[in-house]
Order: sequence, then C-alpha cells, then structure tokens
Amino acid sequence: MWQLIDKEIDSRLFIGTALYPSPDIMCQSIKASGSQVVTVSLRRQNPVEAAGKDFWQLIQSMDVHLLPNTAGCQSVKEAVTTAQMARELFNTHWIKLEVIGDEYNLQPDPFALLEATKELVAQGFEVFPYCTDDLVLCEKLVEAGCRILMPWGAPIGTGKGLMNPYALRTLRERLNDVLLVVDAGIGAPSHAVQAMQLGYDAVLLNTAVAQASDPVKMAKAFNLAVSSGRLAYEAGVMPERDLAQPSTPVIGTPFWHQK
Amino acid sequence: MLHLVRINLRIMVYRALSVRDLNVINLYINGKKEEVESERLIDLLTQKFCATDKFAVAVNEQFINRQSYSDFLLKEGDKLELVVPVQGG
Repeated sequence: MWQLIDKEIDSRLFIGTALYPSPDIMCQSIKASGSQVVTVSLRRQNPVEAAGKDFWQLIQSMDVHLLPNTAGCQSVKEAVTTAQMARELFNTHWIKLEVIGDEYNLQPDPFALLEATKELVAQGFEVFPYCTDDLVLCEKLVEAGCRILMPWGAPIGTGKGLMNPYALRTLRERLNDVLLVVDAGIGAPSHAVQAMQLGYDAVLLNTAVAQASDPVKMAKAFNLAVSSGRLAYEAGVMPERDLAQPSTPVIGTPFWHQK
Repeated sequence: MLHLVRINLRIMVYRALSVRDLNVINLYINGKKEEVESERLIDLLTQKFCATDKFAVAVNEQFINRQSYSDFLLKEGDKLELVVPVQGG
C-alpha cells in the first residue's frame, strides 16, 4: 500500500480510458492493469444522446478512483473552468491539469500551467499537473501547492519512452517530498520499468495499452513491469561500471597457469 | 383597496413575465447557434436536455454550478458549453 494524497492504494499504474477498441476491452484492460486510478475527461455532447451516461455508468461499475483531465485546454481560463466542471461532474477535487502550449507536440505551456495551478489550488483542488521535466518549473509548481507532479517522458502518444532520463533523475533527487509520476510518452513495459527504477512513485499511460494488438495482455504486462520496476528501486540497482569484473571466483580456477 | 392593488400588481408582473418569455434569445450551445424562448437556464436544461442528469454547464467560459441553474438568466449571444463524461488519457 502507498499513500496517494488522500487515498491509500496498491497499484502504481495509472491508466487512461481512451482509444480502446471497445468499452468491454477498456474494462478488461483496466482490470488486467490492476490500476486503481483511471483518467477520464469531459467533452461537448448533447446530453439527450446519453452517451456520457453510458460511459459514466461503465466507469462507476469499476470501483476505481477517477482523475479527470483538462485535455485540450490552451488557456488558464479554459483550464480553470474545465476543472470546475469536472469537479461537479465526477465528484472529485482531483484534477489532471493540462494546459497545452504547442499543438504540434502537445507540450504543456509552463507559464499558463503555473498560473492555472495557483488558481485551482486556491479553489481547493488537488492539482496533478502534466508538466515538462524542467526543474525550475517543477519547483515553482510545488511552491504553488502541488503535492504531486506528472512530468512527461515524451510527447503524448509517441511511445518514445523516457527521452531525458537525466532530467527525470534530477527531479527525483531534488524533490524528495513530492510524489512523481511519469505521464505521457511511455510506449513499452520496459519504459515503465525504467521510470520506476528511477524512484518514480507511479506511471500514467493510455495509448501503449489501448493501441496494443492485445490491450488486455499489454495491460497485464504493464502491471508486472511497474511492480518489477518498483521492487528493483527498493532493492537498489547495482552501480554501473565500465570495466568487466568476473562474478565467478578467480581463485582456484582450473588449468590456471602463472606467467 | 389594498387587495385590488395586490391583484393589479400580480397582473402586471404576470404580463411582464409573459412578454419576456415570448422574446426569442439567440444562444450558442456547444458552438451551434440556437433560438430559445426562455431566458431561464433551468428551462433550457429541462426542456432540451432532460434525458440525463450527468452534465455540467459553463456560460461564457464561466462555470455555472448545479445549484445556480434555477436562478441563472441567459441573455442574447450567450455561449453555453454543456459537457458530459467521456474517455480520457
């Protein structure tokens, strides 16, 4: 068990609900992932069509903690209003705050993100900011009241893994008291292992599972990868060396001849 | 006498409300221009969007909480956003 803000949970994998081949496969994948934190969103729709109601009923039946996002927002005002709507709609004060600054690579706008964070923290939200791996930005988000940060591994949906392990390692070393989650860019279970071995508290992903040939099996693979990476971090990975060093004792080697 | 004044006042208020209700207001609902006959937000929501209670509302980028629906009055050109839960990453 670990403490995620005001909840005690087991899993260190947060998973998204988008892009699955069907609602049934989405549900099976979430179960296979073992995740207890699931991201959701809100969009324009004629409520008469009741599509939102169907999704709501489905996700409610899963007994998971919901983390609504502000995906697509490009300004502080949009993000704050979307967060307010999400709080009422999903009945949670948790918000995955996304304020996009560049439409091409979906990079967060650090300035708008910080401003929106300050506003939402003042309104009682628990802000989970989707941010870049910039140390100064992350420190300022913590100063603004964030108890958790979610730096990207790579741009959303690219599956490139951890593009800047140095920056992510630096964040972990410098921000000891903050929960850190790698969000976005994870493509393979090996990327999740790498993030967890760095000492990150969790990993958030969506596309890597939803767009796999077999999403349910991939969800299970990520479940194991995150657990494995966390165990490795707790066990302490050996230091890397440039020179080879035999693991089998040298003394008593047969056929050894002194030169 | 006082009784008659009260009745007249009621008639005046009723007429004023009736005239107001007959006014057509142009709104933008989820980006689409629409005409509505009542300026009361609650009327719009119950008449047009009563199939589900799972939605949230913003007017001109301001969040309108559920408790405010009954009192909120719309005006010409207002931009409404009505959103529902969907999948997200």
